[in-house]
This record gives sequence, structure tokens and C-alpha cells, in this order.
Amino acid sequence: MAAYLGRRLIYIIPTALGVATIVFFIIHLIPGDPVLAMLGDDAPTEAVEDVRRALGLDQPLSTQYLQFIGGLFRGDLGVSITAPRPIASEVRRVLPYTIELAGTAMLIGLTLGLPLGITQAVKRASGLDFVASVISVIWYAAPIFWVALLGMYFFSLRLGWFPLTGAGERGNITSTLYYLALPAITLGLRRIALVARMMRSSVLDVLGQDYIRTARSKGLSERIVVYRHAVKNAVIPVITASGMEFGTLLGGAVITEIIFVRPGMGRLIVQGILGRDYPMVQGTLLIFALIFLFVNLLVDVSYAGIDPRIRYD
Amino acid sequence: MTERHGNDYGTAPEADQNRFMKGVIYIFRRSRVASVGLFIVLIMVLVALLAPYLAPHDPVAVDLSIRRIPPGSEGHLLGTDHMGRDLLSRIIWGSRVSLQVGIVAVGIGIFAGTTLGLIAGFYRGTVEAAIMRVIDIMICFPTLLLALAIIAVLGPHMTNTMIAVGVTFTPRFARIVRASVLSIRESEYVESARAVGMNNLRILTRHVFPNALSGMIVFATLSVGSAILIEASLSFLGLGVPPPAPTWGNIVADGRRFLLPSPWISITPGLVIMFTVLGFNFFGDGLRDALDPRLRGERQAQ
Repeated sequence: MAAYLGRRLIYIIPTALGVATIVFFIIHLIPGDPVLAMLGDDAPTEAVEDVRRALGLDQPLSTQYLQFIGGLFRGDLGVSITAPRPIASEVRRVLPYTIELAGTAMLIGLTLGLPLGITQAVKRASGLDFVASVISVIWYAAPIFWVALLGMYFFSLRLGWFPLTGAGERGNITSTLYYLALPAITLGLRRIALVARMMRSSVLDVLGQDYIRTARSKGLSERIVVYRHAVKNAVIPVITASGMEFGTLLGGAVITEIIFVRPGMGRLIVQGILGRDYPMVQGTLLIFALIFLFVNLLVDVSYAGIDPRIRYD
Repeated sequence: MTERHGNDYGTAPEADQNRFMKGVIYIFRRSRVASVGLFIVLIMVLVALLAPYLAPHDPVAVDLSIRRIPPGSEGHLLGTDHMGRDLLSRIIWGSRVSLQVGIVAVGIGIFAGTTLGLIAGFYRGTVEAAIMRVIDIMICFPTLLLALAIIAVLGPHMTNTMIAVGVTFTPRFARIVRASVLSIRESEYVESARAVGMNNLRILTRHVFPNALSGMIVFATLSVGSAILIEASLSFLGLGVPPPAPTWGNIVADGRRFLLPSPWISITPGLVIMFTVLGFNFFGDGLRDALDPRLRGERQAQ
């Protein structure tokens, strides 16, 4: 297990380097001059040159690339144009907020979505199955920013159950949860719809397999057939898919952070874009992709606990 | 297809296509979901095409004397926004942006993804390894964030939104196409085409591509829905088509500051986005049923 983990971590390095390379080229190779975009087309030449030098853009592209990659190994994401501190320390400051939000939403999605999907599959074609299917299809078509605003309108503005914006007092768990609740539910509701849909079809798939028929013909109770045999096998593809879907969740977290004015990676990248702070966009995009990679690594590793057939040699 | 089709080397794809079309028509007749989806999509396309005739007012005409009047009053069916602009007209004109970006972006994704997927699946070897490696890495980027970063560099503009969203879809299309190509290239009619001396390009365009198409259509339809959602999110963040041009996303954003006194400004366009995306999703789901031979058999047997 430890050896497997180590090997997976080593495998992740070339992919992470590839990700960093693509991020670098998106920012540096797309036509257009970032410095001119930043200062405006009629900026004085000296000013343009100054900024170019300050950002290292006067160096050849290969040097810039090597400096960027070299910096990453030292945990250095470069210097921001708009923020007072280095990008890496900005990221360290806001990353917990984003992880908290996305993690809670994921948790809400799995803890409510999995049982819902199982129940739907077991009670296939029942009223509950129909209603849940219709709601999740409709819900899945709703834009996240709209859902967030609806939640804000009803639960914060009209009912006053939740605070309007902000992230609460750091270190105070009650305050943190109080501020986290509405944004996390907003993000999580969509996950419930997604997870329930996937789990429903996965369980139905498994229930049609031969070994389920065998289990039934042995005279095992339906409860044991479903929960011991079917669910365990059905959950694996759903976990994989929710790992792959984690990117959408991160995208939703960006929007949610903006609407609820929470500090976080999403705020950082959007501020970077609006402020034409290219090093910031580069750094935050890279961190987002690395989070995605890491979550999928966790998914792979978590199979050990679910499926004994997957061995790590 | 050309008039030479009938006497060409491989007749298998043609026969397949005939059966395929019959299946599709059959499913549309039977599947309410697909028909409802198609109906919604057609309505939205008509609204977008006929926007100049349907919109009762100029979507950008400001009239501060009628700011934020509620839906259902004096010639403003859906009310007005904070600048007295007619919401119905803005939503009607906004459909143009959403549908154009949705469809063109998916078109870009299909074109780029298909090209890469066909090349990777057909040539194999180093070419395939290189293409698939880049695609594996591209998939690590959350869609919305990759689109945001591309917009950051290109600048907010309708064409750039299309490009940004299209690029984010490319890897997924490439994977689907490659997977179909891998199974098709071993099939008998490709083998026979090769046996009679067809060159690679011709086999790709005449045989492999048309057969990879069916697997892709479903994904393309569902992707238009996602593309519309991404465009709306970009517009909402102020990084889509710049104002004052109305887009569904920026109308919702406009209403954000007046959520308590005038919730309709944000709520109505959101409903329209949901309705449209639902249409494409229903349509895609119905098509999937039609194109899945397993399901088709099941239904015909019923």
C-alpha cells in the first residue's frame, strides 16, 4: 500500500509538470501583449519596458519557462502585480476557505446523493423514483449562480436564516459553519442531483448481473443482496465519476465565492483576471489543476477500502 | 455525400445509416423526452432568429422614469431592470448570444477534437501517445477555469468566449472520437476498403468519420447545454460578451444588487437559462436512447 502510494505520487509528477507547462503556454503564447493589455495601448514606452523587466518578460521565453518551473519546485508561484504579497502566500491564505467549501459540498453530495440513488434504484419506477429523477434533471440544468442568488433571496434576505455574505470569524467553528452553510448547500444540491443519478443507474446495472442472481438464488435476503453485494460494486464507478466531475465543482466554487463574497481561490483568479494580473491567473489556474489531480489520486487510493480485488502491486 | 455513394467500395456504412435514421425517427415518435427536448430547442432557436421581430422594445434603450417596474405592467410583460430597459426584450436578444456561443463553441470543440481524435485513433504509435498525453493533461483543468484563463488573455468578447469554451471541450471530444475510431478501424468494411487500395485519408473521411459520428452526436447535444451554462457564468462574472449587449448571464448579474426589492430581474433570465439547457439535455438523452442499439432493441421488442 505504502509502495503503491509512493509510486502514484511519483507518477503524478510528470502530469503536474505537463499541467504547469500548459498553464505557462496559455498565458505566454496566446497572441496579445499582456503588458500592453495591462497598461493600455497608449502607455509610454518606458513604463511598458519597466513592467516588462519587473515581470521578467524581457527574458527569452525558454528562460522564463525554466524560471517558472524552477520556482514551482521551491514553492514559488511568482510575484503578483496587484496583491501586496507573493502569489504562493496569497494562495496559502485563501486555500483553506476553498477546500472547506468544495469539501463540504462534496460531502453533502455523497452523503445524500448515494442513499437517494440506491433507494431510487431499489424502488425503480415508483413515485419517489419519478419525482427524484425529474427534480435532479431539472436541477442539473440550473446555473449555479442563479441557484446561489435564489438561496440568498429566500434564506438570507427574506427569512434571515443565514448571513448574507462573508466567511465568518476564523478559528470560531460555529461562526465558520454559520457562514459556510448556505454556500455549501448551494454547491452541494447540484452534487446530490448528479451523484443520485449516477448511483441509480450504477445500482440498476449491478442488479442485472449474474452474481446478484446467484446471491438471490442462495436465498439471501433482499437487504443483504442490495447492501452487501450490489452497493459495494455500484459505488466504485460513481466515486470515479465524482472525481472526474470535481473540476465542475471547483468551477461552481469560484462562482459561489464571488456571490457570497467569501475569500478563496475563486476570488483570487477572478480578481487576477479583472486586474489583468497575469502571474496571478497563471498561479491560481495551476493550483486549481493540481487540486483536481490530487483529488483524483485520492479517489484511486480510496478504492483500496472499497474493492479488495484492486491490488497494489 | 456524393452521387457516387451507391457504387462505392463499402456499402455497410450506408445501410447502417439508413437503419440509424429509421431508429432515430422511431424513437422520436415514441420518446416523449426527446420530442419535448427538440421542441424546446426549436422554440429557442426561433426566438433567437426572430429576435428583432419578437422583442417589443429596444433591448438597450434606457428610460430612467420606468426603472425596475414589476412584471405585468404597462407594456412590459416581464418588467424592467434598474435602467428601465425592457426585460423581455433583453432576454429575447440575449438568446442570440447564448445559442450562438453554445453552438459555435461546441462546433469548435467538435472540429478540433475530431481532428485530434481521428489522427490519434487511426495512426496510433508516437503520434497517438503525444496527442493523448496532452489531452490527459488538458482534462485536469476545470472547464470554467480554463475558459476563464483563456478569456483573461484574449479579452472579453463574443468570439473569444466561443474560442475559450470550444478549447475546453476539445479534449473530451477527442477522447470520444478516438475510442470510436479504435473500434471502427478493426471492422470488416475498413479492412475491405484497405484491401481495395483506398488511402488513409479517404478511409478516414469516408468510413471512419461517419461511423464515429453517432457516438459524438449525443455528447455534442449535451455539450451545448453545458456551453450555454459556461457562457452564462462568464457573462455573470463580467467576463463574457461586454455590456450593454444583453446576455442571460449579465442580466442576472445586473439584478444582483436589487435582489430584495426587485427579484424578478435576476430570477426570470435564470429560469430561461434552465429551460433552454433542459431542452438540450432532454434532446441529448433522447438521442442517446435512439443511438444505443441495446435500448433500441428493447423498445422495439415492447
